[in-house]
Amino acid sequence: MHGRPFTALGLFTALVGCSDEPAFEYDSRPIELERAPTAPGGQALGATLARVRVGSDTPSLLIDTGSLLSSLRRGVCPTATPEPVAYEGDIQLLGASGSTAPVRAWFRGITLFDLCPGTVGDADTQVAGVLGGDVLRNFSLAFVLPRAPADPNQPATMTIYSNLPASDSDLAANGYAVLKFTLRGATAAATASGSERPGLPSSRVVMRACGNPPAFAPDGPAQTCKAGEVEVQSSGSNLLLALSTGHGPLVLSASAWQRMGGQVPLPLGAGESPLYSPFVADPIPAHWVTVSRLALVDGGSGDAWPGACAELARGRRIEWTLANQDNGACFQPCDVSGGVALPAAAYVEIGSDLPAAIVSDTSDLISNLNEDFPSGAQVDGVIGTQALAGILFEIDNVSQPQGRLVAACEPGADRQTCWAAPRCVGPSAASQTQMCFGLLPRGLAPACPN
Amino acid sequence: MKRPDMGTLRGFPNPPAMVRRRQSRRAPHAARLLIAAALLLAAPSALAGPFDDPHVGSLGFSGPTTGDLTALYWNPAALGMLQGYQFMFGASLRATHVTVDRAPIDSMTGQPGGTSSFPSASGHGLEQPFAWPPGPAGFLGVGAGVARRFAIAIAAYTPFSQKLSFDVTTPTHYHLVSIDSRQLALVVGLAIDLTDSLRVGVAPGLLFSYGHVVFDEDTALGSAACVTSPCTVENPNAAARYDLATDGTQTPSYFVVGGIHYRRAAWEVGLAYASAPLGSDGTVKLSLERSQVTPPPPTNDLCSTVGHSPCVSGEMRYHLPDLFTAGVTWHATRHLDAVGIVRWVRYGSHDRITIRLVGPSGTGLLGNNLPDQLVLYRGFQDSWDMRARLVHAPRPWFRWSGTLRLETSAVPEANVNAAAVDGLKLEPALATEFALGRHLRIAAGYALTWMFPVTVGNSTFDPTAAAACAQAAYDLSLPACQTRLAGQARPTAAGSYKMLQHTLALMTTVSF
Repeated sequence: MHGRPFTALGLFTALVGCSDEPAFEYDSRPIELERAPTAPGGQALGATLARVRVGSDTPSLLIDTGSLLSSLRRGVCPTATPEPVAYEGDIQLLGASGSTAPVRAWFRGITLFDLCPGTVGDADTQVAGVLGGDVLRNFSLAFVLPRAPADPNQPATMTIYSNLPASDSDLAANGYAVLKFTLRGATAAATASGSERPGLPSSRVVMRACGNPPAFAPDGPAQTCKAGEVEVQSSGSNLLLALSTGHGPLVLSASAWQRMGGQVPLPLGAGESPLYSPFVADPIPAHWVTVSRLALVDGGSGDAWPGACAELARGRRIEWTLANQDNGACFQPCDVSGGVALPAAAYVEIGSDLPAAIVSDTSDLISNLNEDFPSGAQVDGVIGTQALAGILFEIDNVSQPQGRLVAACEPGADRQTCWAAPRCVGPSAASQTQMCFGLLPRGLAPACPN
Repeated sequence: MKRPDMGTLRGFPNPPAMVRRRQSRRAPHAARLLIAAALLLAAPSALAGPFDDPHVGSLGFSGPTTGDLTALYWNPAALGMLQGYQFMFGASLRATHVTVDRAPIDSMTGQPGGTSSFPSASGHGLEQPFAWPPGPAGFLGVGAGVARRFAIAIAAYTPFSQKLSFDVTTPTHYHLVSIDSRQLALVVGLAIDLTDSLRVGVAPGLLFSYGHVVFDEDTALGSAACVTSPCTVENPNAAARYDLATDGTQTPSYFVVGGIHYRRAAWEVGLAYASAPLGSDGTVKLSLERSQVTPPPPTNDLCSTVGHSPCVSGEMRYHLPDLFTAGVTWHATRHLDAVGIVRWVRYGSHDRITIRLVGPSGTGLLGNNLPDQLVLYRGFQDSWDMRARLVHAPRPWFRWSGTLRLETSAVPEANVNAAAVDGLKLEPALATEFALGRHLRIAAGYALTWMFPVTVGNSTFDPTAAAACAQAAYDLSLPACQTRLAGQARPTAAGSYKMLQHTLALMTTVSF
């Protein structure tokens, strides 16, 4: 008899329940950010920090594209580390604009973990929470990270957009390097200590890179490469790196550093400053080095893909040919198919002498990076904000089927510091000119004899 | 089951006044007709609105109870009355004239009430179907009744369009310089006779969108340079021109029209629903592949750094309304029909147009103080369109109609601006149709749409909000920044708005 009203009530409740989607409010204007130190005693060029409203306080909030979860602690941090509890809450993100802390974005009804993140950069920079990839993956995020600290006229900023509505080819034509990425890090829901822990989506941006490639100049000597030698003629070490704005320096596993020709002292990090990572609670022993050059390279993971360093070398050879075409330069046989040059992959080259922290392969940080995919390609480390300084980049998480990192160098940047090369496609039937690498339009260059 | 005889008479397969001659023999009663018409008109009125075409199909004869191919728009169930084969081709010429007299503003604040006056602005739009991408105001359809119980048809028409251009130096330039927006529908319909008197119909379709809009952005409003020192408002030297266009029509979205049709004695009733684009919450997304942004002087051409133009691309998003239609036809005599039509256009969903642009690398858009994310506030409301029509067929080969249409505004008075001019509208229309032989009919109609002048005193657009928001470091908790977020922190649109529209329509129907 009372079934119908209760059915209606149930339906109403269900409908109301359906409306409990996260809600986001932002204005797509740059949000000024603070920076954590890159390392103990280092410059404030590290992890990106905003502030968050917690009662009447406005503690620091880490903006970390590499973190799989978002968190905001409720109350004081316990001395022991209990199983984190998830709850539905809001983050009121405050910008760092002088003495004021304006509300710059609202993330309502999002899943937050009640835990205390580790310190960031050094032992003194404690944050109250993390705005992580699980939330940030809903947006396209543009970052400007200046090279010099504390310039009030050029603060670090993040701009939140709903999407990046431009095709790869339009972006390339307008001077952007478009690097596709895959998201990693999904974890299944679980029950721990009697409480439900929600599953987390893949949200960690993982990029392919070439570590320590040789220097290149288009007016330098020619690089030759016979057919089938594309991988033989490459230099540098192929890397798989997570992009994390919650880290300052470039972070590499010891094995990756050794592949790049570096030495790892034992015990690792003795007498050196540790690395403070938001991924793990305790400081990580680290050996501090500099990496001469790093190139992020667009590319896939299939068997036919020659690897980041080979793609980089090919792109450089094609650029050299186009730049020296008037002097009789020709495309190398390994870069040609059917008499025309193969496409050169987009890449962003960053130099020079990038600070890097070398950590043990068995460290919690490296383990955390590979936790979701232990049998697959191993993530070698993290690209932090210091390595990305001077690049104007947008992380387009919304693009389908793959996300995109869209990057350009700051105006006036010199080539040895930053160089963004859009994908270069050879002349087509519609156009017999080739306009790549910032060079004037070129006609069809010949292929060199094998 | 035998398909009911709809009463073909000398080439008119289904003219409302003539087909039901055996159904009602009551003499027309002028007073009753007038009362019916008055009741119809007294109800909350009308649809159409700034970009709705209220005359899809044949001006003066089409509606939810009309059994021809225009039913694919009005009510697919009425398609069930189709007998034999039919082909329809229609074209309209719609001329719109808008006059905007902006209220004087205070030159320091930009708010209405000062001494800076503006010349009157005139906007014109001429819509016709012979254009590429296919223009608005056209109808093309072909269909047939099948096995006495079914009817199938396919048609192309333009349910939504807007075309209006002001002079490039118009005082309305912060809201609109010109717009050409079209939604071309390609629809396949099926109607089934469930009983002798009840029919249902459905018409899924594709909606091909095209857009080109030009407006100016006042870069001085709320810019960093104006936070600490006052800037002259509406300074032409701070105006950046945004010329945003798609490259032809876009990948289509899907929508569906469905309805029922019921006939009893001398009465016919039709009810129909047309959805907004499906699967996207009613949102239309337009890729702006042929766009240009011209910075204010002395900045150089944005595209000079990349050596080609256009060098700006992006996307525009907005909501289209869904639509309910109801119609009643009373076959009063053998020669006279009275028709009432009501449409409820759910324009309330069309609250804003959001635009994201991507400029060339280097300094790009933001580096030149040019916003790359814009919100154009619309703030529409649902509108009602009500029309009363008499159709008289004094001869078997000739009929004519008179229609009076009243339409409420889709734009609240405070939200009216040059890009969204609307108010209460009154529209008388006359139409006639001749049968030329047994298979060919030609219809022609004319409608004059007059909008009651709208005077915007308190415009929703508040230029001071931009500066107030900038001074507060864009704090979203402040009302000024919420105003800016909604796209209302633009130069005021206070003033008076007048609109007049002429529509001339021709329709050819071939039946076998």
